[in-house]
Amino acid sequence: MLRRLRLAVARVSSLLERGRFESDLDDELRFHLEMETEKNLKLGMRFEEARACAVRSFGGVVRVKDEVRSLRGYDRLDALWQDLRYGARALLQSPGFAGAVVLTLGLGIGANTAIFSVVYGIIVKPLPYGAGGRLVALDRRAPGLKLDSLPFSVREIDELREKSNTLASIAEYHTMPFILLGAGEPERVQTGVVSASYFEVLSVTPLLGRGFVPADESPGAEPVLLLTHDYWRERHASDPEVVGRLFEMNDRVHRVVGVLPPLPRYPDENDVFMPISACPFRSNENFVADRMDRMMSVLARMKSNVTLAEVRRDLAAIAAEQRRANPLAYPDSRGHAIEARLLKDELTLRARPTFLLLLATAGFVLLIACANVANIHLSRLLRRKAELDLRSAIGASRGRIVCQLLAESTMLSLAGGALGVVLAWLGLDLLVGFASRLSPRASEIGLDGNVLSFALALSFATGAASGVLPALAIRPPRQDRSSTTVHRARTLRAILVVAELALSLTLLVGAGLMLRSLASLERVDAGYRPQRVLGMLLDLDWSRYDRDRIRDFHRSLLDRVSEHAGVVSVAVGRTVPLDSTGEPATTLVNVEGCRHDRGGVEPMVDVHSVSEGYFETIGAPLVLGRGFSRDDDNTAPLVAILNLTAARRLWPGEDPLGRRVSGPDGLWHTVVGVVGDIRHYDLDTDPSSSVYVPIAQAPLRVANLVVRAKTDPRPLVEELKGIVHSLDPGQAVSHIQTLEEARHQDLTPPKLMSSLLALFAALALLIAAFGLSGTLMLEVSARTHELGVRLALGASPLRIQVMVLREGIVLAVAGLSLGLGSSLISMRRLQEFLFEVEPHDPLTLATVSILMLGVAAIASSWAARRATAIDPLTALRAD
Amino acid sequence: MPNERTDLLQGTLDMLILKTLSLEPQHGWGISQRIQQISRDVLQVYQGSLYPALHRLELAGWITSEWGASDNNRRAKFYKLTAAGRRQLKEERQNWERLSDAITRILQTS
Repeated sequence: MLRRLRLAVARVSSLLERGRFESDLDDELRFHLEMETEKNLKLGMRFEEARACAVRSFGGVVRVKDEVRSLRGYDRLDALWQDLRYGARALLQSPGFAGAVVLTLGLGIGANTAIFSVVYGIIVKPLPYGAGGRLVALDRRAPGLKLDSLPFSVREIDELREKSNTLASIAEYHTMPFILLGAGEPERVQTGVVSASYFEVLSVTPLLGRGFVPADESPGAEPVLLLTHDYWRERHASDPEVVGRLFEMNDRVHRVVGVLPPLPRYPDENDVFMPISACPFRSNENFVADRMDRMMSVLARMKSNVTLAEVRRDLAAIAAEQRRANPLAYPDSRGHAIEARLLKDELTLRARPTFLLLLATAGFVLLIACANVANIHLSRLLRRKAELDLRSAIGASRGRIVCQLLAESTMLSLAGGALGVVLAWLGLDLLVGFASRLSPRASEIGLDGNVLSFALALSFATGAASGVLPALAIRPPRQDRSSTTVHRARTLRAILVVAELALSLTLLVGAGLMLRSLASLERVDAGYRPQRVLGMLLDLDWSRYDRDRIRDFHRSLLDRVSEHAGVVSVAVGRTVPLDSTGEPATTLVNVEGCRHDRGGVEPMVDVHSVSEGYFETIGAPLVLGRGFSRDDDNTAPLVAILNLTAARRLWPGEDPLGRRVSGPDGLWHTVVGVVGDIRHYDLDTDPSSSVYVPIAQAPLRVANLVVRAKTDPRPLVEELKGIVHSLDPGQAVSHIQTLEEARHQDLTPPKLMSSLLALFAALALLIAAFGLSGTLMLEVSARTHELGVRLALGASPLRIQVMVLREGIVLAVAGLSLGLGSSLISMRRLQEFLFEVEPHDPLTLATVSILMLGVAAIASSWAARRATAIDPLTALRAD
Repeated sequence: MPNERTDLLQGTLDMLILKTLSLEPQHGWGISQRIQQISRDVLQVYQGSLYPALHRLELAGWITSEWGASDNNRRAKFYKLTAAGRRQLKEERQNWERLSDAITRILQTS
């Protein structure tokens, strides 16, 4: 063992002294020959004879040198170096070939590296919280209500803390916007309100200052703030002195005690965090006492020795006990359950399917690229057959030749990998932007060491994959009867091309389905006309606005804005359609004279407070009855307008006008109109039942101003802000956007997804088409002689063209049928991404099949034209 | 690479080289001359195997080399035995004696 080690060390160190070794060996052997020659001279030989004798007795200087070299481990290195040098020379001699390979692989590796960086950053990398694998998010469920996740009340959270024996620590969270004063103009900051244990549960240590301590959450404690890293960077220029600064919020002075490190923007994009004692709503005594008043979500850390299944059983037991103890709070019609989900899943679930699909697609593209590069290598191999035969004739073993080809293909794939990393880097921003809509972890995406290692490994793998196939097709010339190499290579090429075409067809089908989905999405009638409409959010400071003041503010704002010459109509409403921050406000309604069986569950509707003119402003058509007017104020009879879906659901087949509904407050609103369905939140789910009530009868502190302008509304922004500030100088205006922008943003993820897929599919098709025409051309050149003879014997060029074309079509059809088969199997996976398109949509299948056959025909005819360019005479001499 | 020597012979050459160097440091040519001389010209050392053997022994750590001046004042590479080489020589010598004894006994019984 030790000897081996010493041998290895000696070898390595001798590798480092290569140059000296060579000259020393030369000197040593020269000395030997001289001494031998002198000895022979003394024996009476003539000089030449003496010298020749000495050399003869030596038995081949070169061989001795080789043997000593191989002893020293120089032979393998030499061979590799030689292969690399030879390969580089060969590649430089055919720059077109090298360029094609590097570009093909660069695109393939680049696509994979870019997507992998997202998958790694979001899905693979451990959470940036200490022992993040033990963190769970809890959800309250009411099966009867068909809602995914309901918030918890203070009482419920206290009971969880008391009774759970699987959770080590439990933290509550909710978020609210507050107005912050003292940092320039009034600023609306999104504030996470948490129990003091929150950052301890997450195992997060502040970057500056301190975290929250239990004393911070006791009632009446001094209000303190933690700033998030993004907010600190963007709004406070990463000021290291920020700790200790004072700001005014909710009529109290808050002190900054710390700054958080960069973290996923989860659960919401908060600017600051405060303990529960500082939140005027959370610290309200009535709120704390009411089991039914629910606002918070819950994060917890599992004890280190329990499984998720045990946690779930534990929570089910607690929920069952709560149901037993408080039958009124948990009616049987709704049910009550508490669920736990791993935080990691929570953070990545939405992004996972999308990016895994993209990764698979990129993988397919790389596979096609590999097949094609193998194909190019094969054709080069055939062209270089003579040279390789020569090399093996002068004693290069098959292994050496395979090594040589692998060295070439690896050099190319590494160059491709380098190009790929550059391309990935260029496309990364776009992908991060895309990913941030699907996961709060997007900020963690980057081309770090792991991603670069992935790219490097991928480069080596593609080099091996694309180099080893052609190498295997080689047969040593002695066994190469009837040119098996050529025959095998041609068969291999045909198989590769069919595989390429099949894969690219599968990708085309996927991309086609996504594009059709997108087209249906864009065609969706959202129920309003977004052109020339502007929205902005007005979040009135709750400490200064009661219901009457809110009403007055909205009234004066509407009056002032409608006087503006550039404004067609103006309104205030709870949401701006398709605004990314909009969320349903679902509530249960009672229907007067409830006479239909609804399975024991009251109907849920989405409630909107809107001012008069809301429907005209956003361009939603009134179907029945009337819209709201100025007269529908707090002194007038309570009224409501339903959307079509609600009207059909609450009074199927009847006239809803004059009927009455009431919400949780028990006040009856009379239906005065029906409006068309408006998609307020997204385009791809069916509109839910909506009820609109006049904002004067149900004032909203947080509402949006919507303005329809005569021309482009953008220039109006400053004036509108001016009007708001003239009414209330301390009022923040945010979320300024046109309705077209909001809609565009809503369509961005599906658009990006389908364009990426389309891009990958187009790449794949292009590569496969080149592969096909290359293969056919090789066929032609391999049969130059035969074709030449045919031409000389009077075969018409057209017939030969048709022959080549037919071969191309045969390959294309083989690829097509394989591809269609695999599409039928794999497209079901796409179901969740598709909108109003079936995974086996015949139109898509037909369209992409025709597209592929068309491209294949073009590629084939290109090769066919080359076939008839053969001059019969040259062809006859070709052999 | 054709190699007509059997392992035994190769091993023997190693042993002879070590033995030669146990007397005094010597360069390659000197070793080949010395072996020829002592064996009274029975053993012709092929330089073709001498130099690879020398490098092999050096890599194994049994001999070391340094450049020095030869008797006729030329630059030559001298090899000398290391302590490990001395142990190795002893071992090989015992092996060789056991082997030749055994062979001799076999040849005598008949």
